[in-house]
Amino acid sequence: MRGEKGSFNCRDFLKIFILSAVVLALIEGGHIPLSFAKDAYPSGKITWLVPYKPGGGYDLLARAISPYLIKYLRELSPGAKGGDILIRNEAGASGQKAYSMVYHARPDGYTIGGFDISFATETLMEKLDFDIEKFNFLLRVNTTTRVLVTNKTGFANWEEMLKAAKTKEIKIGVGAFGRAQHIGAIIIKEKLKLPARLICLGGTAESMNALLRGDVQVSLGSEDSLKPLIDAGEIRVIADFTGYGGYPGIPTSKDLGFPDLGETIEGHRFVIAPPGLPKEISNQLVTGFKKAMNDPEFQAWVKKSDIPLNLIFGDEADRMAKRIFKFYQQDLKPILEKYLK
Amino acid sequence: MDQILTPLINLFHLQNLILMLIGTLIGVVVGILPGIGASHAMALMIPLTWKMDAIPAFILLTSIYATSKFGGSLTAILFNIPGDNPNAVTLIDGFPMAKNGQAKQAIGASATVSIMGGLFSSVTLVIFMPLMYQIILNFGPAEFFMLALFGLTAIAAVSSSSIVKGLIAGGIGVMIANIGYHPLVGQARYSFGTLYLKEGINMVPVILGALAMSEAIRLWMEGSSIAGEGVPLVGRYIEGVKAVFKNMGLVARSFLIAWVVGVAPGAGSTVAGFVSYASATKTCKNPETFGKGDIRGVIAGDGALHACAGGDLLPTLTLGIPGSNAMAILLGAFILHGITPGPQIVRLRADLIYTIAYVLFIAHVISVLMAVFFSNAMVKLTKTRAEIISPIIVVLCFIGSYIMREYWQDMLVTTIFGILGYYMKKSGFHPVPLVLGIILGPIAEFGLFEALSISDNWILIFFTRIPSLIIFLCIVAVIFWPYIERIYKRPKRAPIKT
Repeated sequence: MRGEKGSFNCRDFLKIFILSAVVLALIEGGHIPLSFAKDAYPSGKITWLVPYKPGGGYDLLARAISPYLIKYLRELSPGAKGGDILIRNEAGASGQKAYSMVYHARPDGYTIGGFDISFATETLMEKLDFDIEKFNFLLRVNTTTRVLVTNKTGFANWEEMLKAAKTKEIKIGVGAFGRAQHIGAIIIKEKLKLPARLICLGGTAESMNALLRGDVQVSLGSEDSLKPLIDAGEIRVIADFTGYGGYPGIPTSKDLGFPDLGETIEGHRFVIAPPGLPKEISNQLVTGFKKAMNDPEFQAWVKKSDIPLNLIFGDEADRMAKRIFKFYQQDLKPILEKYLK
Repeated sequence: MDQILTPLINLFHLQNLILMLIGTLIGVVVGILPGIGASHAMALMIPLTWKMDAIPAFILLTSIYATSKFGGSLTAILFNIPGDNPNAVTLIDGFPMAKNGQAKQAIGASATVSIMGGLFSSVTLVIFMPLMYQIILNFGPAEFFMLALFGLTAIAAVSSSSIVKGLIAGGIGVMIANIGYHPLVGQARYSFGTLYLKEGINMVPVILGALAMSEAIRLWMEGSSIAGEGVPLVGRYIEGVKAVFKNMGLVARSFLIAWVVGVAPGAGSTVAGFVSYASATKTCKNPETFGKGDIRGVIAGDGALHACAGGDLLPTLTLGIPGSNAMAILLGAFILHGITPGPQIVRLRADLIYTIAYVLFIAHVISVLMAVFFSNAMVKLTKTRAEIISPIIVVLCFIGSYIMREYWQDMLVTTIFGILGYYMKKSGFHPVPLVLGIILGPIAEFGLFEALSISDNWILIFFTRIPSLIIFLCIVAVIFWPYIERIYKRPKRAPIKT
């Protein structure tokens, strides 16, 4: 198998590899604690698992708030020496990896994570190795409001779109299958009885490309992501589901006869902790986040970067998440199963 | 004129110059380290740029982005380890050149096209920004599908001994790429319920295994060095530089392909590199030498990689649509600094645009000087004994595959494909088609799927969209060009004398 030089052969190579793999697997899966001392919380590093790739709005927010969170966690717990926050991006399997890691982590306050409420529909599509209702929802960070847009040479208004839809199904471009935009578009289509075909295009960028090219006639997206193109006049809003009526002359959910529609299709992003987190640690984290979010320096950053916050803390956030789960998994189940299965 | 010169003058202020040097060094180092790309380094730098003004922040981030590919080219040429996915095209001819003792020529050629590509990127970024909207209208899923097919024709180029074997390897690559969650149908394919497979087999461990580790195993088994025994290290960097200037037609074609492909958001430098390589193998004379250490292969592939940066940046800056992970991070940095990318950015922040354009070129020059300085010592490693160099390559492969997602399973994948790649080479299967299948297969599938979705399953969309038809005709032309040339150049029979 090998030339005459040397005595190392393929079998030796495999032995060394298998040994290395076993050692690494033990280190990875063993979660061997380095210290059993009961120090004031936080006494070690806190890992924040972000279910998105680096660079997005939530990721930037997590990185921005971390120094302030550390500062206030230590203030709340005199003698606490730890609390450094490690941001880990785990976007795999549409965030499922991050959620699974948070769910199975030790409930000691040293692992928290991000959570996108649209993931609630995942339970309709497949069996998960965790129960999303058992997470501890510490706070809601922000809300993503939606708008329906067309390109600058597209439909002049909502009425023109409806008229065209009566002749032939219109094409609505949305992001990845089963994700927030797709779910939102399903709800809009069913509630408004809109003759439309939903085209899943992988993500917001692909959806916008398709809209600009005219491959789809309208697209549903989050207002924050679409703002640059709206401000530049490349796309126009033809239905405003934001709830604050920032587009005069454009029909809102209320105008369309469904005042709750905008709220129904909103996205919400939370910070979560593993099930079974002790109440005192949960309260400390919530209080730390509250103070950090209100820190004047952090507020100045929020204003400069124009990343919107829509904060709800503690039990209120937890109740809100559970309410939305019930809505998706029970009230909307018959409709969603028609599209998602 | 003031708008053009002032950013250039500001770039040479001490703080900005230091940031550009730091960014360039980081870019070259992450480029050399397998498995870590520019996007990782940029993500780590983002928190450091918060308190900076926008211009210095983007000098740092753009320097990292612009220069990582050349570091990756070095390791691709010297050790058959692509520093990042796009560098997989460099090693097709770069590594055989190193085995022939011609590593310095390969590096010289790569360095030259890197600088030229950087200049091309800068100029095209500035010229075409106002036209971006029109350009993007022409690139849709049908065009992506055709571009991916174009890149896949490179399979034939590297499988000259047996096209069938090349197609089999490419097919295996496409099948492996099918594993995992599909965002267009919402289902995880071939995952067997495991989270690891739901995410899909990442291409980095496969590339490191099939290309780099298999080579390390081969060196170990044969007991030789990279540049074989009895093969002297010949040549100088300047010969590589001269080779580039002798092939300026090829350089121009590579840059054009890079620009066209780079501008399409999502296509990226990997596709550009392979399309350019495939085109070169079909349009250059004596194509049988490609894949065996032909410097033109390095020029074509690397030229496209480096000329792509400007096209890559265009959709991000002008439309806020990122086409890659690195661009998504850059977009995040814009938001962080309160800058809104979009068509108006040319008017509102011309100073930033010109700064980025200048950095694209100057950082390339600095990175080449840095890397050539390191490469002198690295070239000598090609004569190092297998007992020393093979374990180093294996360890680097493991680090590269683990560091990306911190999955031990990725190291297992690297090992499996390392062993598979070794036996593939022994059986006459080149592993590059497998890599091509993994990289380009998903792009082709997404393009096909999306094109059919938006056209109500009308297959003719690929031939009725003008840009897609043009790319298809280019594919046909490059495939049949050798036969056409043979017929055209066939000696005319002399008339029979009666």
